Amino acid sequence: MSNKSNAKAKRATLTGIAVGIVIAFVICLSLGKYHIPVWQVAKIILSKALPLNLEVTWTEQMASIILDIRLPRLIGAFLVGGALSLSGATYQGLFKNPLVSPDLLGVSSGACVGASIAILLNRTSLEIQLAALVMGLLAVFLTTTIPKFFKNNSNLMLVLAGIIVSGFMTAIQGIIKYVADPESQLASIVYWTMGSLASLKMRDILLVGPVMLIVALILILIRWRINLLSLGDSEAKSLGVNVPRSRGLAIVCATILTACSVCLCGTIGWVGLIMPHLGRLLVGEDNRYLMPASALLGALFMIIVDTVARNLTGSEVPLSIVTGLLGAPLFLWLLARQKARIN
Amino acid sequence: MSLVVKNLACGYGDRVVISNINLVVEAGEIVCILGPNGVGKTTFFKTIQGFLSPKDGEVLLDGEAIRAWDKKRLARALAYVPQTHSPPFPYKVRDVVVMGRTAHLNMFSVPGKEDYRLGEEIMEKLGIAHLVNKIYSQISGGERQMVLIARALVQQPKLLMMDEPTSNLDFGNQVKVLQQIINLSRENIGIIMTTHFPDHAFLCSTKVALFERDNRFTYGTAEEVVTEESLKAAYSVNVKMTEVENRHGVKLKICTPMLD
Repeated sequence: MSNKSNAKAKRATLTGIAVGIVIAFVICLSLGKYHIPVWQVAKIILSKALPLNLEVTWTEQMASIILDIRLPRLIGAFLVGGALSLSGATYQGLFKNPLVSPDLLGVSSGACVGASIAILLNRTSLEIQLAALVMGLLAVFLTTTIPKFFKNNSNLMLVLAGIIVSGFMTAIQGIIKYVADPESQLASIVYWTMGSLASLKMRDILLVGPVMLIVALILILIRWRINLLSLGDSEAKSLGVNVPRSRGLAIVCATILTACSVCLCGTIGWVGLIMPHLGRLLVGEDNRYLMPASALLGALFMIIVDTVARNLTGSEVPLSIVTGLLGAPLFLWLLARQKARIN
Repeated sequence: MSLVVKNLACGYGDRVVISNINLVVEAGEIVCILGPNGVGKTTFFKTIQGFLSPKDGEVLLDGEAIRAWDKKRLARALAYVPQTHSPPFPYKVRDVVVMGRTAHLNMFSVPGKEDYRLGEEIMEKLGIAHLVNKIYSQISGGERQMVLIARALVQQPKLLMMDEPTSNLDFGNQVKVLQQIINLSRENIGIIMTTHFPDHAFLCSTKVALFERDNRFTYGTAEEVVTEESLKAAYSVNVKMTEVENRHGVKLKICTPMLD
């Protein structure tokens, strides 16, 4: 029936995006100041990934650029883009609002404070990442604790608490910037808050990546519950949903995803907001398809964004600048497509 | 199946809105709840659904207090049909209907073929099979009400709670919904519904509970409870009762408000 063909079409769309990611991945690995042909890239990757005895047609230098520099960055871009978009789609479903982004509850502003403090104290990059992760999670913990004081567990209360915590964190961030050494520290704080994958090492990915994949898998598994929660608390309850537990699990997972990506590459705007919209255009509102679609689209988008960021000019361009330059017009185009529906 | 409400008092926080409610809903019965706005009908419904804890008394389902039941178990026994509403995202009708399967699925599963088949079967029975692939937010109010009834039936409950199922509907759709409610009761589902139309009590109820201001509560057959006097007391309007004969020769009361 038409439902079956509909589901098939949606699955085909998801597969299409996944194939797109693989293609973009290989092409983006070959691009850069030192151009390496695509077939060479494919051979290097294959010889590493599979126990094949391929004839070595590449230099040590090529292998090193691909495996040690570009590959970690692209895997990072894949993880971060997917994570931000998946948590964006989750938040938009949970809060019944398509204009919500994953830092609604204060993750990003908290993480910025954590990272800035670590930079201020001249800590190592690993410590900066850890500080960002811890403060991001702490900020969301604060946000989710405030409604408990008022014994009010409505969504509105949670959103207001998020505004309070974000505002407070932004103020602290301001103080830190004010006292930071403008020659060195301030620059790296600003650079960090605009996002970059430039210094990402395989070590970081092996540390954070598995957590992100597991948490993302949990969110994908509970995606049907997000549909139910989008109906509102009392209706979800009367259908038999344990609302605090389901919503809590979704918020925790979405928050961990955002916090992990902030800790890998700093804060990046736009991705988590726009990719779910693009996903809606392709597969519709149903989170059973929308959440996987958003994750895949986000991953694809960030792979492209990061490649643009390192190729646009002689030096690195911060990621938020690229996501803004690409994202704002894309959002405008999406709004134009949806014009009839918004009114 | 039997739902027994014993000396129930309902309210928010420290405030008791209505107390001493006693009523019984057996399988196949329709209990209509009448009463003016703000008298506590919704509060009563929320208490039965477990959203508010009873201030006193208890609610028993087949002899067991449902107070301690988790949401999932409750939803398998008791389905709620809200007043027509619009969801924030434009889901398909078929997907809205299978949402009723939630109580039969675990946290990590999504509805499967069987669930969709059951949904289609029930939509067929309610005469709304043609809506299957429509967008829920784009269909009419009457159609939405039927979809919500289908969603509740997919829960396979023993008892159906309906909050003003005929409000916001045109005359034809009101009658269609009432007819469906009667059909469902014939399939041994217990139904408890609130309504603003005393006539509906005569048309389809087994029992009527009249909620009045100042905590007064009357319960019995429509004949006993819905009278010119009781309606005057509850709603402060003058009403005249007349009788018409239905197709089977049964006398049916209708009430007409008397204006100045």
